[in-house]
Amino acid sequence: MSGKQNGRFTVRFTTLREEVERVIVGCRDVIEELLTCLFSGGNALIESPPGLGKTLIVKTLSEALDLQFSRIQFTPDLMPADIVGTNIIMQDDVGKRYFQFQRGPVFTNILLADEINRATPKTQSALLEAMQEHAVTVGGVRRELEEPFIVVATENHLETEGTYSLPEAQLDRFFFNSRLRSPDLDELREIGRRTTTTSRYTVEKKLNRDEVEEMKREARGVDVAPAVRRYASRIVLATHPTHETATDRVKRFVRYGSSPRGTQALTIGGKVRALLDGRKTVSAADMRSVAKPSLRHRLILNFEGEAENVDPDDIIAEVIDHVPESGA
Amino acid sequence: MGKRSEETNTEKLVQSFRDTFVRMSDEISKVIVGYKDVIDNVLTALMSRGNVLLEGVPGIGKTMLVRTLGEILDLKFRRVQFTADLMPADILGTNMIAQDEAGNRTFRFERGPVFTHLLLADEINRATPKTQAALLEAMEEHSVTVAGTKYVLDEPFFVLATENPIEMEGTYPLPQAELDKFIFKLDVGFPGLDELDEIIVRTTYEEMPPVDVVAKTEDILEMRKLVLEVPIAPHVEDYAARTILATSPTSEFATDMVRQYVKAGSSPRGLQGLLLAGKVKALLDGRYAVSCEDINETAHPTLRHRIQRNLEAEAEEISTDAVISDILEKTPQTAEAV
Amino acid sequence: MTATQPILKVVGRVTGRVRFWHLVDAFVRAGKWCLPPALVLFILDKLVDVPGVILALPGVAFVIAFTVLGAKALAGVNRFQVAKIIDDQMGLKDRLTSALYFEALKYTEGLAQAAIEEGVAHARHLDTRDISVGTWPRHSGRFIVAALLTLVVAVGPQNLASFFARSDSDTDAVRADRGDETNATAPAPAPTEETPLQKIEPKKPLTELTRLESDRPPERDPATMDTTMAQDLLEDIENIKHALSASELKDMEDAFKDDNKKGPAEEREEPPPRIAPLDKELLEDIARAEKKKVEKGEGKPEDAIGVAVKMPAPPGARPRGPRAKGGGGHGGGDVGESGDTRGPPKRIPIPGRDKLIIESRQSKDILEKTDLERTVMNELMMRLSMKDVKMTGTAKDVEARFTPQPRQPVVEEHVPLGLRGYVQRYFEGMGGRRTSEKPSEEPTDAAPSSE
Repeated sequence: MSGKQNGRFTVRFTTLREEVERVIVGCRDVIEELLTCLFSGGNALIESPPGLGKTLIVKTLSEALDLQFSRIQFTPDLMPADIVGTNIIMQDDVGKRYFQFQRGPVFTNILLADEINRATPKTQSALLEAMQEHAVTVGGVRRELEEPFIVVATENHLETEGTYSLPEAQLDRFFFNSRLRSPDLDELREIGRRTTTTSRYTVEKKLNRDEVEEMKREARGVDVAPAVRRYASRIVLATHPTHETATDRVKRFVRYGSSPRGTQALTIGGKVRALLDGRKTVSAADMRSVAKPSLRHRLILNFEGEAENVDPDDIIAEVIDHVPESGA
Repeated sequence: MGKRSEETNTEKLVQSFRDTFVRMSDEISKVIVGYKDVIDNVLTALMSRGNVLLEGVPGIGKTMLVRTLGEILDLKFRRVQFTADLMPADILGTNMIAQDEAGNRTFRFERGPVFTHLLLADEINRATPKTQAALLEAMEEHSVTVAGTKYVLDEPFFVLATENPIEMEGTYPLPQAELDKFIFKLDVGFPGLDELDEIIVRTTYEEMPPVDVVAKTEDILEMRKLVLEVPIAPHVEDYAARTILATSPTSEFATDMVRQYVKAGSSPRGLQGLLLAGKVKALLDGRYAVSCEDINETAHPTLRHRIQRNLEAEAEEISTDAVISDILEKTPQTAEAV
Repeated sequence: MTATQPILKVVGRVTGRVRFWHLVDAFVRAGKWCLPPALVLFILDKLVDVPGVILALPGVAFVIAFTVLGAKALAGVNRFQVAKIIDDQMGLKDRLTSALYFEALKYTEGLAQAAIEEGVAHARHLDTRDISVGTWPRHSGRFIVAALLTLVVAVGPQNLASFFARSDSDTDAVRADRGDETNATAPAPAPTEETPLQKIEPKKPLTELTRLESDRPPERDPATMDTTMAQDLLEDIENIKHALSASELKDMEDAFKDDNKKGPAEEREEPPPRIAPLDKELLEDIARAEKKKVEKGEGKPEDAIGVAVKMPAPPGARPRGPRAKGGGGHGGGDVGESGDTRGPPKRIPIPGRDKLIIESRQSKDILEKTDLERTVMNELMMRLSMKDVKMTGTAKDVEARFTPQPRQPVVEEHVPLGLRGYVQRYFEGMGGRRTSEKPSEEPTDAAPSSE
């Protein structure tokens, strides 16, 4: 019975991914990470230089899921009201004044928050609150956001003029951090073909809301053995330089390691991976496969790490090499 | 027999594309003195579904150019002067409270200047980033979303934005992500002596010559469709892609000059620009397919704003045009077997 | 395949030529690598007896290289490539190449078909004789000169000399041997005979000496020899040669042939022969010039390199405050305001190949003299393969020095947006591609510092 369920998850996931890939060239890992976020109920942070198609990826995904999609371009003068909405004073026929709430773009299912590092901290926090609570409070009134609600935020590290990089506490709220890389020669040629010829592909709706919710429940329902749970904890502990199990690179380049949210990401991400593989329990290998997107934004580098432009991916690679699967 | 007529049909289509384009260019030149390549590039951008960023000092006829373009195509034209206090609503439009006869109050959307065909966004670098972003989003999507409702813009929709290079105080230079959305960036220089003379003659003596309508909306849409249909041989595609990759200092195709002076290279949008503009160039030359030479000719306006210089390049005053020329020289044109 | 037949016909006619020039290119490329070793071996062969097997190696390598490169080059010649060459040559803007591709990939739309037709039409009007596909490969000139030189060396200038002597142009042969030089071949050209200066038969001192002098191969560059002296000698030779008969010349040749196997070191062991006073002066001049060269360091012995090493501080010295140093500065930095307790740098000459300036990395410990030398030697060994190394302090050193001090800026001010960007880019420009640290943010706080 459960075997049949797992098969269904894989089929749905794959169908969805393939539909997106009909439009997007390359970036398979980013697409998979994005889908994993969706089914884990978490929010995604994408690091990407401009022009690589992040808007297109998220838009295509929303079309394939028949979900509402909004995009907010973050700028230094963006106000919180531009995100959540405002109350407008209206006057009815008898002259009495009342407030009418005009919804901001956050009232959607998939929200693309583009270049989130360009907005002021106040505006960033308005978004992050909505992300956390799945609700916004304006003028004392709390309004719930419709499920499913997922935020895909992007950061552009090349253009750092006038930016406010998200502080670590806020970065931590993102489930996965994905990296979009530039296409290689063959991918670039394919992109050229798709964007300059008459062929225009219309995205088909592959899953509906209920199916998405069902898949989310399935993902949560996967078992994790206590030993594997501890493996996740051990990985996270090894990222802390003061802990005894810290590796050399961690001790040298990391000021502060991952928060407990890192274990959540490893575990739930691992669950989705296990399901995709048709298994009912999470294995250590599943966790390793999601280690980088789970942890690369949760490591705070120290001065030397920043000065030498150390890539957190290298640190994570060393950690998962060294942490044993079993043991205390 | 049927095939023959199809072929001559194609020939006719290409010929009429050329003729219309040339007529458009000539008609605009009746009014605008000089700037032939600016005019041609603007028309090329129009045919490629792209938008143009012009950099030039005031008073050289940018408004005249867009207005004339609207006249010869019988398209609506609006001009917006961007200022520091311009709000997105001033461009996109606002919801106004309206009262009907029964006294019921409803929201009515009043359209902003963006609801037009040709929009001249003057001194776009004066506006606040939020306002810039609002315009550029409309430019990309060809639609406007206000208060949750999406309004689609009429085709053909074309934005010509200008940047003032000298008065840079109190301006917000466009960030790379926004610059990338323009297919071309054209540097409009100051007119020469003869041209200035001619401008004096035309503007202080004679009446402005009336311009004829050269093409209509359907013609433009047909021409745009034809551009998309122009085929590209794999070796030209490959050459264009390698040229784009060569702009990135971390790529295997990068030249030494790129590695030394470039911080970041072009995004895939650059390739899109190269290919579409190349297709237009091929048609204008009376050919049916894109050649490597077409790519070379469109490289400068397409890429000069997509290559970010590093501090060393700025210190040594190495222009992106120089880097592009270097790339074109060093990237080989090869033809592999299939 | 039939629609583009006229194009294929043109391509076919040109392909042969293209193949030929590809082979020429492969030939030159293979030769470029095999010539210098061959040259060296032939020279060596005149000094020591090099076994024939080794002598043949470059030749074998050349054959292999040429075969491989040639095969690769030929395989790379496809019809599209040839069509592209024709297109470029005749200014056809890729018409022929595109037409061939469109047919091969079966593009059926109207424009593609029209393109094929147009390509065919152009092909029909082409005269293949107008197409020139031959371009000499790079450095072919040098290659040819080097090849000729190797031939000369292999055959032996003696034989060539005698060959030319018969045609009565001795001077040319000698001049050709001495003056011919290319920069494609690494070692200086050296004809076969290594005739020693001192080998003189007392019977005819003057003649033989001058003959020897003229025949003596320039084991060092002719440029370093006194050219006027050479000119004088040449004139003498001329006079002498006319005086001597052919058979006498031949005898002298034979006498010297036995000597060419012995190395120069051996010669010097033998007692100096009795020589005329004028020529003795000459010899001494030459010897002096040699010595000077060695002292100046232009010869084989390596340059002395100076190593700036921070000397241990005198006891009781105190560190003098934070070190003002920008990221990635040149070796040496700001010695004045330094946190280390060592003394000013002192130059220690150490034989090596490159000029280096090294700072010792031990900033806090005071080293013993032997430790110092050892450290320097170790680092030298490490760096002997690298050139122009600039040493910088590690981030850890700087960090370690700063840790006891509070992380507070000296000046706290609101920084306008634009200036911030400039400062960031400044630091970015000094090295590193990812986001550099924001100048005024405290990462530990929940909210970043105010603007």
